[in-house]
Order: sequence, then structure tokens, then C-alpha cells
Amino acid sequence: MADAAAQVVIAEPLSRPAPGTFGRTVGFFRTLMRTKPLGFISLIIILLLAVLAAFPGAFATHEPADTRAGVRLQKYCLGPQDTFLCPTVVEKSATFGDRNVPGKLSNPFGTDQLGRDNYSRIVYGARNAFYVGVGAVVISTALALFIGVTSGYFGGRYDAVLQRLVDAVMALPVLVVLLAATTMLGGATFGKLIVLLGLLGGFSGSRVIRSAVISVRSAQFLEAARVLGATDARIMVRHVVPNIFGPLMVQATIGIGSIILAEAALSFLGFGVVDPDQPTWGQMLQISQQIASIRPDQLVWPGLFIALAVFSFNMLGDALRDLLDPRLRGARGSFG
Amino acid sequence: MQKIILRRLVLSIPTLLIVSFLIFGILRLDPDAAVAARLGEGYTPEAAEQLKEELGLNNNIATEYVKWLGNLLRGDWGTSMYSYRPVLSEVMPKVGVTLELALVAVFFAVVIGVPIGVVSAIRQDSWLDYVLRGFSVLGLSVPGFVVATFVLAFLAIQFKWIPPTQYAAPWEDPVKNFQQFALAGLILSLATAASVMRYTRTMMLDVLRQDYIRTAWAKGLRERVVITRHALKNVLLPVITVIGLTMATLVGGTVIFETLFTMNGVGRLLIRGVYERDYPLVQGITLLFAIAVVLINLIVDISYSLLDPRARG
Repeated sequence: MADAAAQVVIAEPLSRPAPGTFGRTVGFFRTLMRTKPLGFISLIIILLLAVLAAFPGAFATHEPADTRAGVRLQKYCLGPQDTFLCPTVVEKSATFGDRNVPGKLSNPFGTDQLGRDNYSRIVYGARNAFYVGVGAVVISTALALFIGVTSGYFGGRYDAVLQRLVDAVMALPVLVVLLAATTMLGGATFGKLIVLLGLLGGFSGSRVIRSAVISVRSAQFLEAARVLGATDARIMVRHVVPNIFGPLMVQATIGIGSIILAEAALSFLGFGVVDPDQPTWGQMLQISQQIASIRPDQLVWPGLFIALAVFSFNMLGDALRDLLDPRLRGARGSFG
Repeated sequence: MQKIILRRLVLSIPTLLIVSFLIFGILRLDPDAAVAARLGEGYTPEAAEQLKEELGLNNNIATEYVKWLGNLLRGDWGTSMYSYRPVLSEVMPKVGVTLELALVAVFFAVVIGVPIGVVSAIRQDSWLDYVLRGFSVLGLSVPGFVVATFVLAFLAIQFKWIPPTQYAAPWEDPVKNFQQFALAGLILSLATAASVMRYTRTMMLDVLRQDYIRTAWAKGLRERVVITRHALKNVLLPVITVIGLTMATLVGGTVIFETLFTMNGVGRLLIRGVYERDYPLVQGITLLFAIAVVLINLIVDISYSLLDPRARG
């Protein structure tokens, strides 16, 4: 009986407890789903791509460099053979006569002109896109945070000098610098791309962080901390940084998208990482482009995935901007 | 007014100096890799040493930079390691093509972006607004080179059309010139057009809620007059800054588009330089692009303060 009485008390608490970190996270995603459906869908797409990127071996049907994954230039095969889901290509040849190239379910996106499995290369391409994107964003976020916070907080001559450096880096067109720098450093590797894109993104991203810092610089809670004897370093880390968390997250999200785009553009020109075991979407698009007038369907998969990734990161960034950073609401128009 | 222009000019000098030092410095980060990449496999140490000497990689970086900068200012941008011609005389004849491509793209960005942004704002939250905003999201997200690849493949298959390769100046052969630049400029402009559209829409929504617009309505003016005479004037000004901000991306885009559409511009020359590991040429073109971006932003800033008296503080 005493137990039953206790249960009644538990079932009707006087007030709801404040949500913990977990509860707040769940609440945030619920808000995202309700108010920004497009942002929520983008998040799902990003998570799916991230799973592909994390475990490519579990999803790929072949090794990415395996040239015997199928006959050359098979078409996509997403269902039973010889239906519209899995067409057969007739390869015309004057010397060898016509030849039927049926699709195979183990090559769902078909094969490229070297007989490599497009689907597996897309999966491993996701790994490389995320590797470069996330790696560079970690560097750029750390750098943007350091430059933006110190520059905005201290101001004065330090700020003036640093901002000229930021001006200079922002004047450099990303693709042109990538081309020039990878050439002069003896060819592209993923490591070099991560550092270069991280540095470029860090300098230009620091502008937004800096203006966010300036907008909280004269807040009263900072004055209170200063009166209590907190050092500059403590104020910056404990009081300034938590207050610019919103713009920081937005920058990082949109940053991954634009880094994936920059890497794809470089690979598309043929100057990205050249390693048959490490396919990238840009490189796949470049290979497809060479035979685009004969087999335009080969362009679809890499083009689709580049667009999907960039689109999703942009949309999620926009949704986060509206939710986390009310000051910038509508600055670029609000979507979804 | 002259003071503002002068101050902006002075401010861009340190920016240009830092830019030039960055471009100069990259080659010296890893001289051995640069030399090895240039010489290819199986080179002799003597050849490497000679190349390092030729590129000035053995000397002190500060003295080399001052020398390089001095030469730049005198118009000596180095000699191409591929054609053995001065970099400037390699680059200059091709500037026109790149400039025309960029101008056509900016033209399309404004012509497409501004009207769509205005329509989207005055029909806010209608189906038309949603459709137009959807297109602008696509324009921002789908990379231009992906769109261009699809369009070129489609034209080649359906109409056996490939872009003309020999450059024709607009005053010599306007039709051919149009064929060369219209499509490339249009697709290159899509991302900028989308930014311009979004910005125009936001600014328009802001302006339409202001008192003087209500006064204009109250006077019984027609919608066309209120929008074009009263609102648009205050909307267009900030749009200029968006174009300035997207200029660096646009300039980078010309490299891909000149390659895709086989245009003989600076961007394609850069690709040749990268391919041949022609370091002086690559440095020169990178510097030229950076100077262009700085200059455009300077012009944007100055024209902004010329057009808007409030920005002259």
C-alpha cells in the first residue's frame, strides 16, 4: 500500500524537472523537425552519408579500384534484369559486331569505362569527401575561433593588423589558390588539401565570429566577470565562446559543404588526389565527362552525390542559423 | 569624398603586400617537393641544384621577396618556364576573354537575381514565392560545373553542338561571340544570381515595411511606381555589396568554365601552367586574380559610399 502511495507522488510531480543535456538535444531535434522540415531532411541525408563514409567496407560491393567488378560501362541496375530498372546496353562495334551488356544487381550504379563499380566508388568517395570536409572544418573552426575571438575581444592595433591578413586571404579565390598551392607543394594529397582548405576557411570564417564577439563584448555579464577579477583568457573561454556557439556551428556546417565542393572542383579539373584506391566524387565526374557525349548517364551518380551533399550541408546550416542565431534570422532569407 | 577613396586605397596596399607574400612564400614551403615535381622521376642532384638556383630557392627568402616585388612593380613578372616568354605578355592577351566571361556572368546574375527577388518579396509566402525560392536554393547548392557538364552533354547529343573554340571578339563576329559567352556566363552566374535573389528578397521585405512606402501607397500610387521608383532604389544599393562578396568565387569559377567551354582565357592558361608545373606563370596568374578581387571590392566600396550618403562617415 505504501508503494502505491509513492507511485502516485511520482506520477504527479509538482513541476517538470529542467531538461538535462540529453533532453535538450532531443528537444532541439524535435524543434528542427517541426519548424524546419527541409533542414531536418538534410540532417537525415548527412547522417546517411556519414554512415557510408564511416563503414564503406560494409556497404561497397567491390573494391574501389577493382577493374574486374563488371563489364565496362554497364548501365545502372536497381531491380530485375531487362526492365526499366536494369536496362541492357547494346555496344556497337564495327570490328567485333554488336554486343549486349546486361546490368548486374551487384553493380547497382553500373560500371565506368575501366570496369570499376560506380556504386562502390561512390561509397568510398563519401569517405574521402567526409575525411577532407570534416578534417578541414576542424582546422578552420579552431582557427576562426582563435582569430575571431582574440581579434574581436582585444580590438585596437592587434585587430587592425590581423584583419589585413584576413582581407588578404579572403581576396584569394579558393580554387585558384588550391591549384597554385598544390602544384607548388608537389601535387595534391588529402593531408595537404585538409590543411590548405582549413587555413583558407579559418581566415575567412573568422569575420563572422569576430562580429559576433564584438556584439557581446560590451555585455554586462562580461563587465561583471571583469569586476570579479577574471583574466582575459578566462573571460574569453568561459563567457565569450559559449555565447557565440550558434554562429560557430552554422559556419562549421556550411563550411563542410563548401569544402566538399572545392575538393570536387579541384578533382574535376584533374588536379585532386590521384590514387585509384581513393576515388572522389569530383574525380568520378571528370572521368564520366570524358565520355559524356556517348554515355551521359555516367554523369548522374557523381553529379547527384556532389549536389546532394552540398545541398544538405547548406540547408542544415540555414536551418541551424534560424534556430541557434536569432540575430542573423532572415539575413540570407529563411528556407524550409 | 576624395578622403574616403584615398583611405580605401591606402588600406588595400597592406592587403596586396600580404597577398603577394603568401603567393611568393608557398613555393618556398617545400622547395625539394617543388623541384622534384618539376623534374619528374629520375632526376640528377645537379639538375635539382640548377633548378633551385634558377628559381632562387637557395637564397634568403626576405631578399628574394624584395627582389621579386621590385621586379613585379617594374612590370617584370618573371619568365614562363614552358614558353620562355615573359609571364605578363603570356597573360595579358588572355585577360579580355576572362573579363568578358566574368562581366557576362555578373550581368546575368543581376538580370536574373533582382527581378526574381523583387517578385518573390511582393508575393511573399505565395506558391510563386516558394517556387522561386526553391530555384534559388538549387542554384546555390548544385555546383555550376555539374550543371555545365550536363548541359554540354545534352547539347552535344541532341544538337551535335559544341562551343566554338576560336575566340571571336564581339565587334568582329557578334553571333559567334554570343555563342561562346552566353551559355557559359549564364551557368556561371547561377550561384551568384541565387545569392542576389535571396538578398534582394530580404532587403525588399525590409524596405516594404517602412513608413515612406506606406506613404507612397497612401498617396494612391500604382504598385509599379511604388516598387520601382520608391522601394527598388533602396534595395539595389546593398545588392552591389553582395556582388562584391561573391566576386572571389566567380573569378575562381572562370577557371573551370574556361576549361569546360574551351575558352582561351587566363583561367585556362593557369591550368596549362599547373599541368606544366610552370611556377612563375602560376604565381603570376594567382597574383593577378587576387589583385582583381581586391580591386573589385575597392570599386564596390567606393561606389557604395558615392551612392549612399549615409556610408560616407
